[in-house]
This record gives sequence, C-alpha cells and structure tokens, in this order.
Amino acid sequence: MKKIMTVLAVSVLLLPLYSISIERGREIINEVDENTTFSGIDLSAQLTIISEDPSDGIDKSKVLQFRNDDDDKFLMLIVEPVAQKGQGYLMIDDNLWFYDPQSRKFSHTSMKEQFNDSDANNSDFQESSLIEDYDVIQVEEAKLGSFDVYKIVMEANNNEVTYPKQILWVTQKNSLVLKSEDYSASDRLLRTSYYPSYTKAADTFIPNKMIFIDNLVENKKTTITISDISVKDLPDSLFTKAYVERVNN
Amino acid sequence: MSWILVRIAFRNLREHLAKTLIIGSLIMLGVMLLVVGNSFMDTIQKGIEKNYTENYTGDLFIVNNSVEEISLIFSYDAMSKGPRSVPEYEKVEKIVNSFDQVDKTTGQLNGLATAKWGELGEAFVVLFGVNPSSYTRMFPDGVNILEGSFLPEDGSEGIVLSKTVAQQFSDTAGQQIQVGDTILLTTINTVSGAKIREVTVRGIHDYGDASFDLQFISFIDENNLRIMNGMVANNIEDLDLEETEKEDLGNVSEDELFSLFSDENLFTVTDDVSSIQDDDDYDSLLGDTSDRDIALEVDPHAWNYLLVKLADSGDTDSMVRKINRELEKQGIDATAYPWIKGAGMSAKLADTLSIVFNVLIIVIAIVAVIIIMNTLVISVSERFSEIGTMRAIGAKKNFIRKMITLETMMITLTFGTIGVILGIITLVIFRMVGIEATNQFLQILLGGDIFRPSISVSAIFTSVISVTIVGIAASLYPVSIALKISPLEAMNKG
Repeated sequence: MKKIMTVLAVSVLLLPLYSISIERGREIINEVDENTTFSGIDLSAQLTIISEDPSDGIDKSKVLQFRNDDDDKFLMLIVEPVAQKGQGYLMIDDNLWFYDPQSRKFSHTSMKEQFNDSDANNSDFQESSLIEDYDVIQVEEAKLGSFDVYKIVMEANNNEVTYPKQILWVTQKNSLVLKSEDYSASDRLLRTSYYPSYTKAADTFIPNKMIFIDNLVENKKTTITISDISVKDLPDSLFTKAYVERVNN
Repeated sequence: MSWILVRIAFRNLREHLAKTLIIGSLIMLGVMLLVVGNSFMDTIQKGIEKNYTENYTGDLFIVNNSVEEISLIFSYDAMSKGPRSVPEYEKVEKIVNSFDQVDKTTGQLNGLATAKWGELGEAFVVLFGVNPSSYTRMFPDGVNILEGSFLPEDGSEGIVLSKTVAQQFSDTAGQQIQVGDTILLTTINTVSGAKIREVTVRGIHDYGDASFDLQFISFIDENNLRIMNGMVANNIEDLDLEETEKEDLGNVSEDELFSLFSDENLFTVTDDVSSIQDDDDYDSLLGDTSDRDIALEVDPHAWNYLLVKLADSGDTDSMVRKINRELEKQGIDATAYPWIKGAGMSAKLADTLSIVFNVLIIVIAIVAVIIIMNTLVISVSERFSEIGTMRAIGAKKNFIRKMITLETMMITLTFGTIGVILGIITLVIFRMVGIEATNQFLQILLGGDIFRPSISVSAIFTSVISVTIVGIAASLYPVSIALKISPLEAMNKG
C-alpha cells in the first residue's frame, strides 16, 4: 500500500512537468515559425540544388526564390540547367502552379510534390507553419554534435501537410531547426533533413544549406545551398502568372 | 523367352489384382491430370502469345542496353536520365529489315503522366507513343476504337484514351469526356524537368480483356511523348560542380556536420546583395532564352523500342540470336529480346503458373514412385519362395530383373494409355461445354469469358514419357530386392 501511494505521489508530481514540456514544445515550434518567417519584409535568394541519385547520377540546378510571407506567395524560377530555364513554381491564393515555358501552360500542383525531381518538397520553400499543422507529442533535451537541443516529436493535425509525423532537433539557444526526421503515417522514416548553418537577414533566419536524405533509397540525397539573399521589397507583379509568362519571352 | 516373361508377368498381375488396380488407378489418374493440366497450360500460353505478338508486342523487340527495367507495357526507365532510346535507330531498323524472316517493324515510346481534364477530371495514364501508320500496319487488330478515330496519320498532335482512363475522367469530373476535348498531361524527366502538354482527344479505345497491364494504356503522337520524356537531339549540358559542391557529395556525417559550428557561430548576418535596381530588371532575369530552344530540340529518331513482327513466329528465338550477333558485329549498344521479356506481368503469369504446375507434378510423381515401389516391394516379398525357386531351377538374375520390370511397365503403359484416353475425353468435354471465367483475373489469364482448352500433342507425349520414367524408377528398388533372394534361403523358408 505504501509503495502504491509513493508511485501515485511521484506520478502526480511529474504530471505538471510533462504538461509544461508539451507546452514548452509548442512555444519552441512557434519560435521556429517566427524565426524563419519573413514578416513585413520579402525574401529573394538563389538556390543551388545538387541531387545525387544512384540510378540517375548527379544533377545540378539553380533556382531563383522569391517569397512574400505576409501574403503567402512565393515564386521559384529555374535558371539552370538551360533545358529547364524559365520553369516556375508560383504560389498564389493558396494554389501552387507549375509553369512549363515549352508548352506555355500552367498546371496545378501540390505542396506535397517533390521539387523538380529532387528530395526537397515544394513545401520546403514556403513559410514554416508548424504550430498550425502539428501537435507536439513529446519534448526532451538532447545533444546533437556540439549543440544543446530540444528533440520534439510532432504529429500532424491535418491532411494538408507533407509528412504525418516529424521529429525536430531544435537549438535551445536560438530555436533553429538543425535536423528533422520525416515519417509516414505508418511510422516509417521517409526522409532526414539537416540544416547545419543559417544566415540572419533582418532578424529572420534562413538556412545557408539544407541537406535532404532519402531514407527509402540508399545514397539518394539533395543538397541545397542558398546564396545572394536579399530582403528588399518585391513588386506584387512578380507573383503573377503574367510575370512568369513575360519573363520567359 | 520374351513370351514366357509376358505370360508370367501377366499371371502375376492377375493373381495380385487388388495391388495391380491400386497402382494402375494411381497411374491412370496421374496421366489424366498431366494430359489435362498440360493441355490447359499450353492453350493458355499459346493464347497469350498469339494475343500479345499479334496485337501489342510483335515477336521480338530491340532496346538500348542501358535500360535496366525492360517492359513494353510500363517502364519507369522511359522517364529516367540518359540515352534510353534505341541507339542509331535507323541503322538498327535497316539491319533488322535485311533479314527475310522479318515481316514488319515499328517504333514504340513509353511514358507515364497525370492527366487533367477541366477543373475536376483527373486520371493516371500509361502512354504508348507511336507512328500511327506503321503501328496500325503491324497491329491491324490491336486497337479497338470505340469512339472517334486513331491518331492522325499526318503526325499532328493527339491522344487516344483507353476506355478505363476515359471512365476515370468521367468519375472524377461527373460528366463524359468527348472526342475533341483537350486534356493536360503532366510528367517529369531528368533532362528537361517537369513537362506539361495539352493534347486533343482523338478517340477512345478498348483493349478488352487483354491484360490488366494494358487497360491504362493510351496512344499519343510520338512528338509529344518525346518532349515529355526529354528525348532531345542536342545534349549541351555538362555537369559543372564547384570545389565546395564536390565536397558536399557522398555520405553525410552527422557528427562532422554539427561539430563545425556551435551556438556562437551557427548563423552569419548577411548584407543585402540584391543586384536588382528597379522593377523592370525582373523582366530580364532569365536573359536570352534561345539556348533553351536548342537544348529542347526533339530527336525525331528517338524510340524506346523497335518492335519486330516475323513472317513465322516460330523463328523468334533464332532471329533474336541472329539480330543480336549482327548488332554486336556492328558495335551497336542494343539487344534483341523475345516478346515475353517485355510483355508485362499478365503474360508472365502463365509462365509462372506453368512452373508451379510442373513442380506440383514432380511432387506427385515422387509420391507415385514411392507408393508404386512400396506396393511392388510387398508383391516381391509375397513371391519370395517363388522367385527363389525360379532362381534354383536356373533362372538368371537378368530373367528376374526383366520379369519385375515388365510387370511394372505393363501396369504403367496399360493404365497410362487409359489415363491419356480419359484425359482426352475430359478435354473434349471441357472444350464442348467451355469453362466460364468468373472474375477478371481468370478472364485475363484465360483470354476471355469462356475458356475452351485444346488437346496438346506435346502434353500427351510428355505424359507418356513421364509415366514410363515413373514406372522404371519405381521398379528399380523391388528388382534389387528380388535379385538378392538366394534360392537356398527361399527353399528353407518355403
């Protein structure tokens, strides 16, 4: 009886700690969203995407990225390789469009789709909205290399997200994501992502480098290096189908 | 001597009538099963072969050696990087047509795409890119047009949807797609990236119960599919990696990745590097795009497969060898394969079932050998004194061996013949009545709603050979026991 009472007492004492952890986890992922959302300013950058595939070999492409997070708009314009020059992904009014300059046609596509056959998804280039899309399941302190991190297990609360479950490793000091594991609904590890360094532009962080490892295909990986970052205001006309057609003429 | 042996063997079989009938019935049932089963398999295989070679695959096909996943029906390789088309297609076509046995040839392109019709209509399509005139010449009965027509022979754009895909559009859009409507096809390849093509529906066709694999196949003009597959004439891209980019290649070490930085230097603060001065600069971001037009120029001779129809399908294997010898001699990096290699799962299913059936027959044969052998051993034991006496009055070992073997062979051949006759009668009945295929799997396998098996001469021949082998094998051990009987011991026991 005494033992049972002790266990109950310990459980009651630990309960608030657990709930604080979950609450703290939500605070952390909210900070992650805020840290990487360009509020009140726009973002433009150049992405160099190198895809390694054991069957297809190595591919390199360069993409111009334009983001207006306040209005949930973005444009990705491929500049290299030359055969794909001018192809674009345009996010407007909650719709993501792909443009093929060869046929001069737009086609509706999904955030869940892979970006240009790489291991990155279209959703990797939009603003982060973890706090809206995921519930925090578990939070613990951990170590990743020389970093003190929070390991946060999250499960999706809607079907719109690319991955039903994610585990994030977030720095305790700056609330920046260093690593992410992306799981299927059946809890199978699909992708591991690394964000080893960041650039701070106007109080907002953007990863210098993103590494996406396909956990289903051995040695399949995509490395994205981000350069030429600017937070200069972008014209609204940039985020239109008319602009994507015009820039290709 | 032989006559005496036959009389003795016959007398023994009659005296042990029960055992003779048990063994005989087993053999009869086995042979009947063999004749019926092998005739079924032969009919299915021949039906599938005729259906495929005359309507979809030709007798043989030629493909680039770098293609790992060979399938004329559904191939992801069609969307992969590299020279996946038949190299030096025109030269290969000329080589193939130089053989008298070759009747017709045609090219085939393969592709996959998602298709959208209007706001709501969606479907997944497997595409055959074909030259309409040479394709319909080679497969005059291959395409059953339900509505509209086949692809225009003048080479203009278009798609002929499969009935299944047209139904998918109807289900998702809530209305029937019509000939003359346009649909958007979207796919991706590693040469020219994602591609969108708008094509006009020229017709709707039906492959019937041909195969599950074929139900999603739609025909598209060759030019559109080459664009979708990234089959370009000018490969002007060279991979140009900077030193830092080369360092990033290969495996990632998590420890190394996160020991280089710490909280203090995890991020750098950037200066704004925008080179854009005013809004007009955005219109010239891509610069000159004429190089893109050169890079996207389509190779008009790019085909994934060269399909070959022979004057006599029986020459397939020898022609595959001949063509491959010539391709090797000419240094062309392509290989010819018989149709079955690229015919997809349904065609191979019959082969797989045939293997399973034959394994089953081997297991049954082993069991039959054991049963017959045991029965003969008992029979020999019962005739211990008789055989001993025969040996004592001068019968040689060879005489005893022949006697036992002859007894076994008489049973096997007599009941085997009855089995063959019963098998033939069974097949005739099945052929007259017909076997109804109650589900789609059976319809695909049996090639239609009603299956009427043919009597296979090779099945009968195989059955007779098999039963003879079983008879000889089953008699070996009883003969060895009979030969060990010593006349003295037999007389003492008797």
